[in-house]
Parts: sequence; C-alpha cells; structure tokens
Amino acid sequence: MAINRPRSARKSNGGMMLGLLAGVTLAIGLYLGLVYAPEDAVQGNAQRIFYIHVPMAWVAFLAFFVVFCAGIMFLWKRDPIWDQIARSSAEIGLVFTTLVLLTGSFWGRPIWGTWWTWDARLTTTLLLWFIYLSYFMLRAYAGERDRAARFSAVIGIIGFIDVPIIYMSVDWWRTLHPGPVFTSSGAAMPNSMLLAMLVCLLGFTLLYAYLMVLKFGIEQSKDKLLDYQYALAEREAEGAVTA
Amino acid sequence: MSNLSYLFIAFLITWIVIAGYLWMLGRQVQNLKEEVESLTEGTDIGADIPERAARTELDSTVVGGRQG
Repeated sequence: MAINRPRSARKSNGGMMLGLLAGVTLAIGLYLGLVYAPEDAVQGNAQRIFYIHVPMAWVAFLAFFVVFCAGIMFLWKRDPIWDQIARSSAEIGLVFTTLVLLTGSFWGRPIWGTWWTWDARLTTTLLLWFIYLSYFMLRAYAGERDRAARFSAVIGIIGFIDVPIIYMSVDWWRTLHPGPVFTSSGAAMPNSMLLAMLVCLLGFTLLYAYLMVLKFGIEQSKDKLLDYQYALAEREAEGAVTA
Repeated sequence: MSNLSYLFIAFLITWIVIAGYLWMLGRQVQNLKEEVESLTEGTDIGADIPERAARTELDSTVVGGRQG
C-alpha cells in the first residue's frame, strides 16, 4: 500500500540529506587539503588556507548571482517567492564574503607581511561586502514589505556588477593578489592540490545549497506568519467596529 | 606566529562562524514554531484559516518542522 508522507517530512529529510552530504564532502575535502595535498614550496602551510578561501569566494559569488537573478524575477513577476529567495541568498553571501575577507587577511599576513592592503581585489571585495550590508540596512528601514523588496531587488541587481569587476581586477590593475586559479591553459597547480580544491569547492557549494533550503524555509514561514497576523489584526479590528 | 598558526586560526574562525550561523538559523526555526503555537492556540483562527491547516502549512515551510 502506498503511503503519502507529509510534505514537511519529505522536505525535512531532503534538507538533512543535503546537510549530511555537505558535511561528508567538506570533511573529505579538508582531509585532502590538510593532509593529502603537498605543502607549498614557497608559502608553506599558510597556502592551505586556499582550500577554504577560494571555495568560499566562489560560494559568495554564486549567492550574489542568485540574488541578481531573483531580483530581476521579482521586479518582473512581483511574486514574493523571488524576494524570499533573494534575501535568503544575500544573507548567506554576506556571511561567506565576511569569511573570505577574514581568511584572506590571515593568508596575507604571513605572505605579504600585512593584514590588509588597499589592493584592487581586496578593495572591490570589501565594496561588495558593504553593498550587501546596505541591502539589509535598506530592508530594515524601508518599512512596508513590498517597498523593501523592490528597493533591495534594485540593490541586488546593481550590486552584482561588482562581482565581474572583482574577478577581473587582477587582470585590469596591478595587484598583490594572485591571478585566477583556472586559466585557458588549465589549472595552475599540481593534480593533488587541484583534487583537494575541487572537493572543497563541491563541499562548500553543497553547504550553500543546504543553508539556502534552511533559510528559504524560514523566510517563507516568516512571511506566512506575518500574513496570518495581519489577517488576525484585521478580523479583530472588524470585530471591534461591529461590537 | 608560524605559518601553521595562521592556518589554524583561519580554519578555526571559518568553522566557528559557520557553526554560529547554523545555530542562529536553528534559533530562528524555533522562534517561528513558538510564534505559530501562540498564534494558533490563543485565537479563534479556525473560522477562516483552520488551525490544523494553518499549523501544517507553516510547519511544512520550516525545514525540520515538528512531524506527527
């Protein structure tokens, strides 16, 4: 006999599986990065920060690409689901951009001799962090839900322009930051390092997907709860008038 | 500080922030559940929005929602 399991149970199990898969992939990736991959001849062990720094930068860019696409869809369709997706992804992107800046600083100190420099790549990344911080500040001060969604969609779309600038900054300006890992002639590293990096990349992408499932569920519920609270307040107001 | 110390601190900060963020999301889910409970228990919401339906719909969107 076929039994239809509740939607909540299926969704919960799917999310758990995704989280578990992300955890296992990240554990394997970290083993490969910290144990299997050889120590860098020039930078020593500090180079291993690369195995989390680059994947987290990728996740931050992916998150802001989702914000960009969802922002366009929201302005086009005016369906609140796109705003829920955009604000979920923006928050995760902000967390990962913060981590990219922090881990980059801990990598830069032993290699460049400084925690921070106003280098093109670093400065444009900091700018991205401020853009998405303003995304949430705007939402907090915009008041009415639809207006907050419209304003933040515009910021999300315009803010994404900074992402290709960050990527190209190492080619456009003279910078301390190393160039792209992948070039037209292949990856600029030995196969063991490449394997560790790719597994970490997959692990962090799965972690992003898991966090998105969690956060999106929360944002959907928040909106529904607000709708119910408004409906309730309206009914109470009507009751007060008729009484 | 040696190179290894920078590596250790960078990894430590990363996992603390990610674990903290996951904990924060867990708290948000918990708070939402409590709000749903207070909303459905203290009102006659059943007239227009049946209590069970409202609760199920809200729970289904919160991943890890209470089952049964």
